[in-house]
Amino acid sequence: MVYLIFILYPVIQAVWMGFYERDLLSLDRQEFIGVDNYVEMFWGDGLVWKAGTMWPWRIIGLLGIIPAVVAFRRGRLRAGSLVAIIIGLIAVFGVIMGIHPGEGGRWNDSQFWPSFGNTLVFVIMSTPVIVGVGLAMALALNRPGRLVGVLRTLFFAPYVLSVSVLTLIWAFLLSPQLGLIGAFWRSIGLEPVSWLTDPSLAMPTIVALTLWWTVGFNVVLFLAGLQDIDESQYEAASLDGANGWQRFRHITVPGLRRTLLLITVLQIIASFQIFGQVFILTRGGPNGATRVSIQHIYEAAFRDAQLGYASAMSVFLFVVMVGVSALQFNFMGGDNR
Amino acid sequence: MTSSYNPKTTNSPWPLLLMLLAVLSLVAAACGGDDDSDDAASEETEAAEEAGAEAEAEAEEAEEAADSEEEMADEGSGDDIVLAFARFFGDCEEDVAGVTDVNQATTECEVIQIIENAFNAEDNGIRVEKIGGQAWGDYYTQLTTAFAGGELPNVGVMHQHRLPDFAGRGLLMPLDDAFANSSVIDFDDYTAPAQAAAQLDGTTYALPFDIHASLWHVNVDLFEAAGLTDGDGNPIAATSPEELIEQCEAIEAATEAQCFGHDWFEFGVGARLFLGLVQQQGGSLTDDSGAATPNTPEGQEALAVLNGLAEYSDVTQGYTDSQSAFLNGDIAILHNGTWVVDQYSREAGFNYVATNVPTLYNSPSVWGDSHMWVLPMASNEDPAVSAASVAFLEYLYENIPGWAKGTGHIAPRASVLGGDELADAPQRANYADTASSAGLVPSVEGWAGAWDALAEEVNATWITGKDQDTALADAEARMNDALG
Repeated sequence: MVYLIFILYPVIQAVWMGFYERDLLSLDRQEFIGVDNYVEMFWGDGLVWKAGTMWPWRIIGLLGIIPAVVAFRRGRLRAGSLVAIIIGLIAVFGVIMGIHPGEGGRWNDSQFWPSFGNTLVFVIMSTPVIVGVGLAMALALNRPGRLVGVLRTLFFAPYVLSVSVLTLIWAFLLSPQLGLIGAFWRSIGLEPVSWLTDPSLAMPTIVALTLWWTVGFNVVLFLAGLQDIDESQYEAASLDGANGWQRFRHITVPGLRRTLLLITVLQIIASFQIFGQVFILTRGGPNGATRVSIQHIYEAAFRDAQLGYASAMSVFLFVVMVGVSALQFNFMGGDNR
Repeated sequence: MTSSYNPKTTNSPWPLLLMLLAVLSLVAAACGGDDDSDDAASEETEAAEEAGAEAEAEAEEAEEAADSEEEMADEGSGDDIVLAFARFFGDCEEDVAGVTDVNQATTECEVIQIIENAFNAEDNGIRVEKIGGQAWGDYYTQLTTAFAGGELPNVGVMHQHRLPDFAGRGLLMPLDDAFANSSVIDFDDYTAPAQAAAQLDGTTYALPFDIHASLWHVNVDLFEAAGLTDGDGNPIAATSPEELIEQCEAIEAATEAQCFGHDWFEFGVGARLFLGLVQQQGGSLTDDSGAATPNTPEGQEALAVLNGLAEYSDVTQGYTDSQSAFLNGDIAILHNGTWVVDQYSREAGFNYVATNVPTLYNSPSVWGDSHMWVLPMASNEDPAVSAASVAFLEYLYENIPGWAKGTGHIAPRASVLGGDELADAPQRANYADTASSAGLVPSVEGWAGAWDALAEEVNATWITGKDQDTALADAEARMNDALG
């Protein structure tokens, strides 16, 4: 019941508001406008389709068919799911991503797709790194000892910081003129790097500080998963002459499958929701290189008071996140069905 | 703790040692950061004058605001009318607790807090209680939420550039009658930019508290070394873009210093200079119908001047970096606002002068804005409450000299500008002209979004080398999207 009130109701309300033009500052005035908000989001003037638009990304996306087929062959995927995935990938990467504004044309909302693209970039960069480093650290820390206990606490420590403290620390560290890192750079005779103002470095820098901030949480979850693996399996494997990598590959990884799935899904969802770090550190800059979807939604709702449009964008983000999570469960959770 | 561990999997000490090293460096980093977080926080407040900040604390602070309002309702059991007062400028209640002499203030925050203290110390049957106190990017989010959710302040601060968003929706109380009936407030005493700032379509919605604007903060020692001072030792003002570049050439030839500095990417300071330079040429950022028009010959010229200055600057410097480099003596001209004049007067270890942004074209003009006080309609419906709110406005009006003196902001009233209250305040005479040349941003709904788009596009020309014509065309399209 509580779940219904606090989780489901806002989602339903967001969907409902997405069909209205609604002004945050004069809530009594609202107008049903059907799918206009979605047209504003997705569409534009003078759009054309070209096979070559963003082709490297689209080919990588289409290659996603291969693991789906492999998973199907191994019996991890039902035929229906396979067909759905193939159709979905072809639709998104083969067709939809070919649409772009032609000569003189433009998107209705010139910031919607770029900010969604930046969000995807963040998700794609941050998820493997934060999950992978979390796993590596958990493996290294999965041993008894006082020092290890202290380290575990230390690694978890940044996670308790609020985003404002986090950004204050890093804004200071990263400042080319005043920061510690800039001073270090100078001390070895190099020009300090403008981490947050170089459009190609800003997003990786955000990923790095997010790693520092949140990896401790994944470490704790992985450690819990590791402790659930029966030690006798390792002993038996050692007796059979398995080396460290074989033990990891054949005991640890299968034993962690569920934990890995959980952490990956949680991480992807968390990464899609990136906002605080970029909003405070770069405000979406430089040149929009770090403007992410949530910031765009926030600005639409609270700066421009366009509540209906912001709701529609949240619904889109919600659907994408649900879709990606469902794919995850399909691929990684396959053994459990 | 031990039984389920498998010590055999990783026996080498190296991973552990490496991790230890990593941890130590991170801890060191964190401590370093923590030590400075106070500093950073105060800088934040400073920068927050013109810049936004924390999104995170929002929900929390909005709650606090709501709580304190409730508290107020409870405490209001005495005879006093309690006014909820919403503002930014920071929190310093404890630093100046009990202080009622405005001359003791050293920061914006302290000035306004002391004015509030002094008002509450008077026996006037009204008590003012502050809600919020946060950086302003955050402030408007809270204020917007307050308007949507109903937990409103009785008196609040507002910039000129945000007034149309609220007044245009009928959320603010028209004040023409209140001012006409007041024996204290003389609206005609306000300067032209201040009057324009407070009005929308001929109706007055606000009491201007100041005009704040861009200034040239000059290191005169460097100017002198480059031979750019007049007979009295004052820095010579450039009168054309070419002359400005010549000054930079001279400074860089004669000294080690960087000629020009400002925040190149954080808070849209480049867009401010852009606005001023467009208006100096007689141009405007909007046309008669209210549509955005940055992509004009005047706009192209202004953007070219900015990119010319970038050659004599360091475009990786943001607000804080450029400020500290200037105070360190490494920058000859810093473009920043009125709000830092007193701070620089205290802290600069060189011959410091704050002066008008030079007029490079036909007529003087410089970016300006105004801090103003407004009364939300819904929280002032009770005549007793609105009378109390107006009484507080009158008190604030009387304290405009104290605000101008304590902060460096320009007094918006002719009688104060011409009076002797500010005569002994540092630097004020050097930038007196800015009082009349401050060019406000257009009074149109949705300007905040349009301004952000403009700032991002002009910034792109020096950060990423984006083509200037493309940037202005994109800016125009995006600004008009925002203006709707």
